[in-house]
Amino acid sequence: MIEETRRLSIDELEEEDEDTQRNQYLTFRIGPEDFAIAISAVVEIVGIQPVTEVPDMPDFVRGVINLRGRVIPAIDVRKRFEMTDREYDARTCIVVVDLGGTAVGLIVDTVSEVLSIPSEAVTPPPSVQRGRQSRFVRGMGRVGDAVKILLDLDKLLLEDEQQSVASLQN
Amino acid sequence: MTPEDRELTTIFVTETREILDGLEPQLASLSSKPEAGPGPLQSAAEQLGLVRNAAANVGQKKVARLLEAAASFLVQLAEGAPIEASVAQPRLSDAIGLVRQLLARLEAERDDADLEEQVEQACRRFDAPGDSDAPPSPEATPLAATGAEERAPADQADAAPEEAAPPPVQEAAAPLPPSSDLDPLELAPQFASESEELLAKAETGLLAAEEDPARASEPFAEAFRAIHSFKGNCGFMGYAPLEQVSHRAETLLDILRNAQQPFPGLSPAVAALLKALDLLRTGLAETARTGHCPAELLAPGVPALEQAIAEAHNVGSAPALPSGPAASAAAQPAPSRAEASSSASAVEDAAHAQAAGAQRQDIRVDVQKLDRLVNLVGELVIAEAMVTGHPAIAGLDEESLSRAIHLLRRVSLDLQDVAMSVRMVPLSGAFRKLVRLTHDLSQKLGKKVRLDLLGEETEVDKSVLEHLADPLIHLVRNAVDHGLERPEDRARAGKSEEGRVTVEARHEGGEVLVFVEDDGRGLDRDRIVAKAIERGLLQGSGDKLTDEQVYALVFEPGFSTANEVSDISGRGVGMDVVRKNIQKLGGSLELRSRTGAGTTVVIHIPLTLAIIDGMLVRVGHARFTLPLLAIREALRPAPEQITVTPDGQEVARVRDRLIPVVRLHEVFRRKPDHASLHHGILVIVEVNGHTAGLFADEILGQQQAVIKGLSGYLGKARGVSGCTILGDGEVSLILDVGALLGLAQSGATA
Repeated sequence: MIEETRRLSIDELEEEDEDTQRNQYLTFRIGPEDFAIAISAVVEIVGIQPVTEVPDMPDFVRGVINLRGRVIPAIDVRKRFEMTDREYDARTCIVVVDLGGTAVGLIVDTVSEVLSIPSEAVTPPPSVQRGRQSRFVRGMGRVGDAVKILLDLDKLLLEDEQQSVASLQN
Repeated sequence: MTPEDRELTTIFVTETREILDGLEPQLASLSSKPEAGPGPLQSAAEQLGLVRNAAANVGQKKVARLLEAAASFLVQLAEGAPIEASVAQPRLSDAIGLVRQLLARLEAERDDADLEEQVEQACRRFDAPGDSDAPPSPEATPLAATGAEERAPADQADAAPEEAAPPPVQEAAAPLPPSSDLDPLELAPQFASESEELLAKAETGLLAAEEDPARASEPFAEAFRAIHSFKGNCGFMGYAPLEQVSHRAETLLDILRNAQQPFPGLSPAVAALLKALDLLRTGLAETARTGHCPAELLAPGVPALEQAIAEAHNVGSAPALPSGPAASAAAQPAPSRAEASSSASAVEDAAHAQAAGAQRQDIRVDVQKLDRLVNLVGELVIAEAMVTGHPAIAGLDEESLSRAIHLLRRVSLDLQDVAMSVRMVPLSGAFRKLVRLTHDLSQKLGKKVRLDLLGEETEVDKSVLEHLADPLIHLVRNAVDHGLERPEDRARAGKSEEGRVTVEARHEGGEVLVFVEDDGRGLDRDRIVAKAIERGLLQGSGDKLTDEQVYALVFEPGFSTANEVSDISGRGVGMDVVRKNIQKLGGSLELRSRTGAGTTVVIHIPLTLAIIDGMLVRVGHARFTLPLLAIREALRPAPEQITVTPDGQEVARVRDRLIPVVRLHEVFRRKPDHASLHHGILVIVEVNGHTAGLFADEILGQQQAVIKGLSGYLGKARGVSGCTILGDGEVSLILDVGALLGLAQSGATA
């Protein structure tokens, strides 16, 4: 059972990774937890900057930012996880990810490091878990004694409330 | 060389070079990967075959001969002929080098007879057995001139007439192995867009010829040239069905343009040609889509053309017509010279020669690249403003610095202008369609119509042009169908029987104005009012409305005044669609009319969709950009100007008008500085005759805004049409004034 899921995650990784980036993750911190996303999806990391609010958006969509002339949406990951608000500070970062050609900024408490998490060290998310964030979890990565929560970007950015927004596109 | 041949030759040279450029690396790798199998060889052979056809088409026998030999050599290789790659490769590269030499001569219009021997030699080497080759040294080919001496005289005699009387077209009729199954999809879109232009040109010529039969030969010649080039392209691409139909059209045009006197039975011939053009267009579209053109698609046009050709022959006013397609093309310089005694066509010929001589150089560029360029320039302008407006720099009092800043600003503004102009295209593309439309309509409706096009050269942004074509067609259709009276009615009203429709474009203060004007019966105010009341668009008698307001009703959805529903102008889905399309462009419409004297529709459109003049307003911490075009005035209302209706809608009385108020801070849920209207500012906006006052804290100023779309990820946001980046790098939302007016009308401002 576990074996099967593992293979699945390997397949997924192979799909999106080039050789050098395989199993490489960018980790960032929100509250007490460390989260990780596949490095291949990351375009760049910028410091927090003025966000312009856009009306009629779900509350985790903070608005838009100016990324060197490109206007891209900024998602507050804290809000997405329905965690309590926290003032942005000097360590707050925007991780710009590429989602099928669309750039989206993720506002996170702080960016930690780039880690290699071999697929053997990844276990599927615990089946019994409460809390909204579990919906976005693709697996748990063990790095030494620490555990990093691997996020599923597609779900993080597109699922649920976002679907209603997505359906408005075009 | 005649202009049309020169044009063909240029196309041929360019395209051949492109193909050779693509082929050479493939051929070079022959030796390195023999294991690749016959596939690549086969496809290379096919491509060479394609070029060979084209060469035959433009009468380049030597090129054709070489390529044919090379192609069959490749086929041999593909079939596994025992030839060492080290032997084969120099033969091929020498041959290609020679082709390039020939192309260069052709381009420079220099005689290439001295290369004949080299060509022969290269061809012979292809036929030689694979193991024993003449030393495959580079000198083998280019230096063959020594051998040429013995044969040169004969060759020159052979070659000279070839230059003078080019393309024997039969060669194209018997093409090499079917070139059409080479992946044509790659070239097809470019082919289609080029051909589209040629067909449009031909159509213009035809319609002009029909307009003025006495001087038809010139426009016919124009059409002939276009079709001739088109046919050449089709041959080059190996689209036999298209080529065949265009060949017949060409034959007919050839007769027509050489007719000595006005040609009796002109109309059926032109009708057949127009129909053929339509079919060719259909075929083209199909070709662009699938890369192939089914013959049966084009078949319906052939009989009419054949018949017209036969009739044209019978009329006998045509000069002795050369029988074959080859002859018709080859003989064409002679008659046109004879005709050139009329000074007009001589001048025209000269103009053509000159145009070809000046070698205007166009390159085709991916629109996305252009957009990227325009975006980057926009960013540069923003970055420049950020730097020059930076407090650290603004505080410096250094003359040389401020001079440098001034220069930087000027250059970046110039750069922006140039970048924007790259995307500008003349309106003539959209205008030309109207000629055909008017022609067809006037025949169908039995009305005499004269269409005048003015200001065709006016340029607009490409995206604007795309959205303008349909509304224009609609308006002209309306003008001819509903605007103009029948000839007998016109006569009775003391007007000339021929109705006039004028389409005119011109620049006016940052906008382009397009007028569609007819001299028909004009709008009937009473009927519009009656209809509006009937349709429930209007309450009361409508007596108090101004003419303008009455005419604006025509643009309401579901309104049509035509008594009978005609199959041409539809069923009342007309004007509101036109208005919607124009609004999408950020433009507006205006209707003027005088009963009995005609109607004018004025379309206001922005020059570009990429930049607007904006007014920056502040609401709390948010800064919004309003399109300046929509703004009428801005004022701080006195408390007594404000009235609140029982349902809570605030209304400001400005002079004698009552204007509903939209509180931006409520729409966008911001915390404003001022909650009472007389402390802030009301920006009065107007779109399509609807007015509202947008309430903001203050006006920050005016600036050019480079429009950026909201990310597709966000989808649509209410009341927002896009965003722009301010001088300090922050993003400002551009407000959709039309949508905000909608809010004002529904009263749902909260």
